[in-house]
Amino acid sequence: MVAMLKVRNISKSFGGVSVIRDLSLTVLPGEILGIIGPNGAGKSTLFKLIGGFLRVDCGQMNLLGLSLVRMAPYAICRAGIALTFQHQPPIRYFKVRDLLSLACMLGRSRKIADAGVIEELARALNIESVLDSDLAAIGHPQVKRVHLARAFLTKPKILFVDEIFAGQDAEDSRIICSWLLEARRSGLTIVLADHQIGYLAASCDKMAFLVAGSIDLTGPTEEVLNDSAVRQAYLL
Amino acid sequence: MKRSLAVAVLIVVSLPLWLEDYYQHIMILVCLFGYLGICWNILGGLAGQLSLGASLFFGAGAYTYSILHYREALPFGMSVGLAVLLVLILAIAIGIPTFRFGLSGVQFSMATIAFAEMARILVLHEPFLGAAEGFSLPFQSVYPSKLEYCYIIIALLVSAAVAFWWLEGRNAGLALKLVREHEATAEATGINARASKLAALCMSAAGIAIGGIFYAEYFLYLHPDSEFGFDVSVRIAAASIFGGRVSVLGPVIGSAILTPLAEGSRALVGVGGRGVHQIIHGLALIVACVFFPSGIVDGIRRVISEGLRRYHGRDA
Amino acid sequence: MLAQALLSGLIMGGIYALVSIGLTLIFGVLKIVNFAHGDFVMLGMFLAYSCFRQWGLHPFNSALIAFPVFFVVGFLIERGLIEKTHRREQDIQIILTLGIAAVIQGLCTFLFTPAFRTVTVTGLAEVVSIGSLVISKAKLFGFLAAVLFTCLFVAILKFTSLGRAVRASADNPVGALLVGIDLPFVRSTAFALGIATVGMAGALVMPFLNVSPEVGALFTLRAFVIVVLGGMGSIQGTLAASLCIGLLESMGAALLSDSLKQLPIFFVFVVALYLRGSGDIDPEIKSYQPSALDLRR
Repeated sequence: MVAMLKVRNISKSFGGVSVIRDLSLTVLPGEILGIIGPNGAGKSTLFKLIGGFLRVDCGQMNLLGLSLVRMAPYAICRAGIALTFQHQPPIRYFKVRDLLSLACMLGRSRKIADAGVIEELARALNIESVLDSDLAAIGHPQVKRVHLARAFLTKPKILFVDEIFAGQDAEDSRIICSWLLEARRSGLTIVLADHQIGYLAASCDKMAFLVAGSIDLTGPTEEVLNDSAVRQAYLL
Repeated sequence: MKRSLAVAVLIVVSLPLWLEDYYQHIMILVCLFGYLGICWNILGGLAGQLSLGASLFFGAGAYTYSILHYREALPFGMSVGLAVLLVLILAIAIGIPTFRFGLSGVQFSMATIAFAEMARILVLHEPFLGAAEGFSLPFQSVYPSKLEYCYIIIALLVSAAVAFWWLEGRNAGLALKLVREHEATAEATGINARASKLAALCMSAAGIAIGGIFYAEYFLYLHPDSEFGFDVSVRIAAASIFGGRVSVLGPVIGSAILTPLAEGSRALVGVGGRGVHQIIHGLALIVACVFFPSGIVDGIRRVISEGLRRYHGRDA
Repeated sequence: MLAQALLSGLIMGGIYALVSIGLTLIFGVLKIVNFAHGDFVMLGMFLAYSCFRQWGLHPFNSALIAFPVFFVVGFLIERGLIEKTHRREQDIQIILTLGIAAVIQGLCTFLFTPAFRTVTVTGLAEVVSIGSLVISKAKLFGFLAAVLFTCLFVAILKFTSLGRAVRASADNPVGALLVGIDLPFVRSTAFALGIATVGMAGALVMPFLNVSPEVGALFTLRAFVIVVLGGMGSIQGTLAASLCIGLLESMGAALLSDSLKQLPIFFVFVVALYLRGSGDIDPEIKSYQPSALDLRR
């Protein structure tokens, strides 16, 4: 099967600290890949590198043959990679609905009846009650789900989701899980980075274990979760 | 609501007809700085880039137009067109590197000050542009009375307000707001943040240049220190910030309060009281920052709604 | 000719260092965008001028008066006004300090008229010659005083507990609070210290510079250029940048023309700003940054 996203030997260091070391990763179409690893392993940095928010020091990144290195974040987004951030700073004077319709407009869903799409998605992610509120006035877990919806509405080929389960209650976590599986069924490729092993195990086909800036182990979820290093790191 | 708005518009529009000469002059200044404030607000409010170098575009527009029209005797339309074109080129030349290197916040403000100062120094030095003597337009104004100028600037103000309001409601306006609030989120939504900011800068600069042209035609005298000076930039920005940066009305209300304060105190106190208008202007800014950081329009709105809430609360 | 320009550039650079070191503390370390900085220099100059006219006080003695006076003024301004803007975006602070600058400028115009004023001190009027180079005694003493006070200032920041508290609060406000530093007090004190230094600098430069209410803005711009060029908050950087700017100005005046002498400074400023910008769009950076920790309950 031809790879969706191919990351080859990328590195990134800040000053003298190297955060990503010679990392390679392949994402296949239609899979949900979970990236786990201790704090500081470089999960968020990897996401920012792929999204173009940081520049790689060396290495290659290809989305279906299109090189992403040196592309601006907005161009990467339009090429089909959508991200949510781990730390989303507040956005003031902005309605949730405005953000979502902006995402619709700039994604390739111009022709779809936006209002319907937004309402339906909001129902699926349990944010319909805040659709007309200010983004700065709603709770953190809801903000994260709003941004998940925002990323999804840009009609990406791959969706990168950074720590969506952090801070969500059990009910919402289950909702997100089933929504992710549903999105995958409709053909979306998803990459999750998180610490909530339980929810990851429930949604991922494959997992990658990131340690000190490079992928230590990658394979089917079962296999990775049975690895002794992973078990030790997550007290399984 | 609609009727009261119509009445208000009618009063404002008919105001110049029964005002005395001096008050017409004040009204022209109020509208001019309201207009400039709205133009500034496209970049400063909507896109959130606090420019303190608006005088660069103001002066460049005024000087280019005056020289082309009066010294080179080009037709009016052509001179205006060329002046706006030159200002757009300037805006692009400044905007591309400034946004490319990711200057924002205070750094952006300082860069805009630096560019305006460079222009002021160059014009002050250049004999072709009149240097320190300034540039005088023919003493004969185009229109015999202030009334015409009054209506021209009101027309400019209204069209700028409508344009701003239109832009704000469109996706482009939403995109600019998102860029202001968090650039990375905007980019992650597929918005080209740099291009958006550059577009805002260009729109703002073109509008301010037209304001400069009006200024030249009205005052008939240009000087680098007053056209390119830091004071002009601050005055333009102050009207918007004092009034409020998130609404169309903000700059207009801001200018309607600050301009008469400054001009009135200058006239009332007379020559002996030099500097009084600066003190009043400064105090207004300080009061605005400490008590109404999001602008006087928002402040008034909040006070009214609070009052209403209390009033109704007592009823119940 | 060139050597003369070099010498006077260095001397002016030393004096700019004294003006900018206060802004290094206020803007570079405390992150307070103080656009009224130069106006405090101007105010210090007028203080020295009035003391001289009223009581014939030597400007260097006025400098000693200026220090405590400006310290109190600075403390009150931070407490009364600037503190209110700490939780807002920096834009508000810029406008607030521009307002303060306008008030100071208007006040001085009201009291002293916009005319240029000078003070001629007997004993400082003659020149000292080193070989073929000449330098006015007033400038030389001003330079020496500037160097002395700059060293004192650095020593305060480096070695006193107040200095340590200031650096700690700037580095990590929350951490500073957690270890029991009275953050608002430290911030006000540090701001006051910065203002006191510039007030004193104003008095020191009075014997050889003209003062009018307009000069404040020039000092502000120059000080910001120096602080940004010096790397925002680095004292050594500020000293080096001050000397560079002094040199650049005198060389600009010597090589270009007197009316263009400011041009290279702004050019270098823009380049420095560009070099500082990274061009990356970091998702962690908030577009509106509260300038400091919000301490309101």
